[in-house]
Amino acid sequence: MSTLIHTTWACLAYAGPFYLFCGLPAQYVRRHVAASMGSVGCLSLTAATALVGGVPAYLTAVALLGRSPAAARFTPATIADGIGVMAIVTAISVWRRRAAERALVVARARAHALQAQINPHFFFNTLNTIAALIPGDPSAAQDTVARLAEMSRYAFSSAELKTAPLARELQFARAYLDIERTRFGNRLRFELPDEASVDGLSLPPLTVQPLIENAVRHGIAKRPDGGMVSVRVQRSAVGFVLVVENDTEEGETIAETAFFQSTHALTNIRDRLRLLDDRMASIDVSIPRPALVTVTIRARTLPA
Amino acid sequence: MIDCLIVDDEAPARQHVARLLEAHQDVRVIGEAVNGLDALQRVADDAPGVIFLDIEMPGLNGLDVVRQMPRQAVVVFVTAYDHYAVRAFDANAIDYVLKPVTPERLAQAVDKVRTILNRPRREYEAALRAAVDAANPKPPAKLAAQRGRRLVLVAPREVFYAVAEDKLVFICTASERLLVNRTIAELESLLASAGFVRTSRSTLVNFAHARELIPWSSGTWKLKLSNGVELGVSRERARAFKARIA
Repeated sequence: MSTLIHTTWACLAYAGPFYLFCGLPAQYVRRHVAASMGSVGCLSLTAATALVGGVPAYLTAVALLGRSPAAARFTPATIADGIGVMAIVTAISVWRRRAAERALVVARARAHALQAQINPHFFFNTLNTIAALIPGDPSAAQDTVARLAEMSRYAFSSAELKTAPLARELQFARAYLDIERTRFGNRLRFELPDEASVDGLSLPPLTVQPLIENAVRHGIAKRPDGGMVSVRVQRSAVGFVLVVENDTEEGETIAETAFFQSTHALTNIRDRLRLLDDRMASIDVSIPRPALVTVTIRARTLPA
Repeated sequence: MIDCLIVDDEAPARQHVARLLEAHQDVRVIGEAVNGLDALQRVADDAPGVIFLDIEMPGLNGLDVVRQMPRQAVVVFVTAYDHYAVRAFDANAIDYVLKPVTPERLAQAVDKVRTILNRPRREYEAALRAAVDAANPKPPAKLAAQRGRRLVLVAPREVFYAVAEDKLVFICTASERLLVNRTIAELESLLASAGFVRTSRSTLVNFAHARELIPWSSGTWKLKLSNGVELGVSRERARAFKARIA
């Protein structure tokens, strides 16, 4: 009888501190850290927390129970068992969490893909520009109609595709910039890489132009004297890095994180990059110096 | 003659409206403005009767221009696509023209302007104010103020307080004191949602800069701001102010 009581007491004494010391950190890890770590990193972190927790748990149990028969249970083997169980439980829940998150990203990206079209504001403004150009400069009006047709054709045909050649993305961006140029005149200056230089590279469709549109609308348009937007592409060992850099309003301070609000084009692009290549594709914003913003996309070269 | 100002940050869009207005003999374009600040300056200098005003512009948008206009004018909004604003205009019977602007639609707008100009304006001005507030309930991102003869933009968060002296109202930032062309009450209603509070008949304080409330004499208080300035708080305002702190 007394052995039974002692054993129960030992179990409780073991479970309480063990939970406190390694269960709570594990919960925290699951909630805040694990989502951004790989499963290997997650397992090792869990093991580390369990070790840290296991030792005080053992000591507490010994202190409480003295030399009770149940003390025999606290061998390194028992602790190892505990660690193993914790690790498995954590790994399963992390995996489930990641699956749920991924499902959300998929759903959101699907909804976005349907929305990822020509911005209505831009569209109607362009029609207005065309109407304005017709009497005085009919050939510029014709050019603008052609650019808008080119943009629409690409937007209609690419929304369903998983990836599009980067060269096509750049052409689309160039058509957009040509139209904006009619409006902003010399206030808008831009630099795009040669389309031949990006042969074989691809991205989700309608990725590059929204970044440039952001740069124009929220950056260059706010500067009385205008500014520069430039796109650079650099090949890397596994893929490529695309950087969009633009001038923005002087004296405005915006946090990098503000660029990823849920309604923002950048969130849409990040979702679609994740959907395409969860491990390697990424998009980041940085503000290297005041009044300058860079957006960097990293992606692998995917088989065509 | 109806004197018009055309406000749009895009040159072709301004030319387009100007050209379409040529068809109306009683309408004269007296100027163009390329952004919100420029528009305010021209409204002050040229006193147009009518403004054709684009909504989406850098710096001050069209709605903020209306809220900060130094003098009243009839406004015709011109917009490419703005669900939210358009709904507010419809609800208040304020006219707007969608881009691309057509000659017929602009002619209708000019007709409406003629009607408004021939009637007492109080009702129209109230409707315009209501429409603009409904379309953009947020406080203005920038406040127009005078530095010498030039208008400049100041972010509300940079303003420590505003003070009325004689009939002039000044806003005070860390480094300067700028004249604004409004009464303190107008400024209060413009900036209440930006966290500005009246502390006396003549002062309006940016609550974010308030640091310390010090008892003074016979029920009045002194309010110390983060830049060290001390302002008097009247007895009747002190209660509301303290409620805000607690």
